[in-house]
Amino acid sequence: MQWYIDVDPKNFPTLLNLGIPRIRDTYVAKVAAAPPRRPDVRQLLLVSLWLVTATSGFFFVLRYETSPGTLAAPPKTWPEGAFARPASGTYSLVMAVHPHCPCSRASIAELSSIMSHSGNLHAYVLFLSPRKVASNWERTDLWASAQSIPRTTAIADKDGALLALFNCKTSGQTLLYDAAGNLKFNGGITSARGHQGDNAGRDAILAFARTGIARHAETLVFGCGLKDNCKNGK
Amino acid sequence: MLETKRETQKEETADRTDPLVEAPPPQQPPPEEFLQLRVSERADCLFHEQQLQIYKRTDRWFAFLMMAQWAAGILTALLISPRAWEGTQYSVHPHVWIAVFLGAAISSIPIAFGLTMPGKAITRHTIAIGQMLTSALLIHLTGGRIETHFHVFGSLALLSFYRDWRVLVTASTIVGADHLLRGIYFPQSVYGVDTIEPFRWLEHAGWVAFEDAFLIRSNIESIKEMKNIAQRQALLELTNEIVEATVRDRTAELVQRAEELEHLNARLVESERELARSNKELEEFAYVASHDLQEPLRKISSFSDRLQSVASQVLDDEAKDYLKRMQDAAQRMRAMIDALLNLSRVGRGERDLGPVDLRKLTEDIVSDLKSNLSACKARVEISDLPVVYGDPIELRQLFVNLIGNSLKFRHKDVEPVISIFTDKPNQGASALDSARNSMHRICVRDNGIGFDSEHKEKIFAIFQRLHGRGQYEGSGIGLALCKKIAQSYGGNITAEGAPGDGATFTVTLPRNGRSEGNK
Repeated sequence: MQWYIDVDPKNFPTLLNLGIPRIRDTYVAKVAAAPPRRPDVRQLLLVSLWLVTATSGFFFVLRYETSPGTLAAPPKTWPEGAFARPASGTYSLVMAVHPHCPCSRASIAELSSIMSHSGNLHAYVLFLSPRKVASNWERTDLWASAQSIPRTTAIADKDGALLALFNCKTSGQTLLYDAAGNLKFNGGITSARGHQGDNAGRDAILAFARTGIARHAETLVFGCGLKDNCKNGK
Repeated sequence: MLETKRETQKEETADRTDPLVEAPPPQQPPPEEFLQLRVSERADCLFHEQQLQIYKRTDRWFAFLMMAQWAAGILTALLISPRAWEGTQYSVHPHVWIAVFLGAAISSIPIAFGLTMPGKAITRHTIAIGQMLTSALLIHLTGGRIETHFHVFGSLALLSFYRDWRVLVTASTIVGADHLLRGIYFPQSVYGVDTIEPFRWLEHAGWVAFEDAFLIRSNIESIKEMKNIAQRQALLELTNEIVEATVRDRTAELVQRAEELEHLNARLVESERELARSNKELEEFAYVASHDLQEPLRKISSFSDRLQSVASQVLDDEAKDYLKRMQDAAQRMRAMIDALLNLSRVGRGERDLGPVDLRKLTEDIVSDLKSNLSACKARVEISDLPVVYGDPIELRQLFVNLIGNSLKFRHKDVEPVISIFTDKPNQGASALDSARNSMHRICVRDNGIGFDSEHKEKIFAIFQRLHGRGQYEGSGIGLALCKKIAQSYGGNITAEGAPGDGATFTVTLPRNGRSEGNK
């Protein structure tokens, strides 16, 4: 495996003893400069330590990314005082979003995927808009992304009144109400924090929208907290 | 006991440090096998050199790439997820710290190895592992975007720059292990669901293996090609070495020859100088001796004449015979001294050089010798002869001697015929002919008694005679004088003949009229 294994002088007695100065010198120089055949034990230990460190780091990352936020219990039926639901025959999907939560970018992307795969859904994305912050605080790239999704309404929720009404505490929490206003699904639509891709929440919502039944009615939610001093999420 | 052990250790150390000295002399293989062995070993050396260069170069590339990737990870975290929020409160997002610290942890060892230990196997395998871990980190930092997964495939392609398929195996093993372990412990992070099929990870690893199949094949082919190139280069080097050695040997040989030639030339020049000096001394001696001999000879001659006139009455016949013999000898000696003086004068005194029409010259000679020619009914045929550059008196002497020689050695019962003509060589032949073209060749042919060709050099020697003095008169200097005159103009004279069949004398004189002899 190592190049210098083959230039051991013991393998070249004929060459090195036949008085060929040029090649002889080359080989002798190489042999002299050749590192030992086996890697240094210290190097192996160092590499092992490095691998343990890196693996531990990834373990921490995975732990963090798969640690869910608070999944509060939403009202079982469409709450009174909320905005009007669409016409009958259409499911209503409500998603709570912190406009600056980077993890919710994946949730918006998943919402886009859901809306493109199902025609009998109407989505409402509730963006937290506290009074004490600057105006247009909620108008981020997430807002623009949400607005660009078909059959989706982006709502600036002043001081989180609607979020309180739906009892959402974590950005990315998604609720699905059927045409009758009954809660069908509550949870996140990403598999991990800020992680796009296949996930149980998306599969459940699409299943409800298509067949009325699904394997999961609740999933974990990953995202930033929607209220100050909240211990969830981060 | 201790000393014996130390000695043994010393011997072992010597064996290890200098195996060349201690190795027993091997049996010399035949030349062809030896050359094959040498090419093979040199090719192996060249291949490993090239391979090591590739390893080192790629290690350094990856060291810098991993630095860039680390920076890119931090930048990505700052751009995508700079802050984590709780309502209106925020803090630095954990992704930023992950990018900084986990990125550093992943990249540090591969970068350090790549910069400090390039070329080692552990370095490139560490880099392969680090590169795959970096892919995983970037996927996390970008929220699992499918586009970032291409970093894995791109990294495999980059790792194939090592041309070491084992590195690809290491990298792919890391990818497979990552999917396997995360599938077991954190299935949601990879597959998005809590429960998966047991061999789902194989589907992901399969696509990596798909790329590996082509890259590994490409690596193996590349190694084969490198070995072929090394083999050809080794062969070329050996050929060059042989050519260089041959050229070196030939050059040394040529230098040696040149030195020998130079030495010989120097000796020749010295010999020539010595010979010229010796000749000059000899000629001066001959001139002085001949000149000084004349005075006692004149006395011998005059006193013998006086003795004859005064004592002829009292001398008996025997005494008179003795006296006559003495007078004849004195006369012959005078003739010889005169001839010798003439010979030594050639080229010594002032010459009246100019164009000489040889036809006119020979016709004048024939006219002067008319009585002699008539006496023996001789006929002289003169054809067109060239005009040459020389002293008319010396050239006249030359042709007088040759014509006189033909008359002297004639058949008694045959009328002598002497032909004087120019021998023109054939047009354009060899280099010898072209050399001849630069000379006039004037021939004097007779129908006399001729001579044996074995004497053709001897007849030009001074005082050399082929016949007894009683048969033919002469001093033995005439032809020697001819040769000296011809040579003094840079020409020569040769003779061809056969006994009873006449002789031909060929005089060569330079066409341009200038030569060392007449300067």
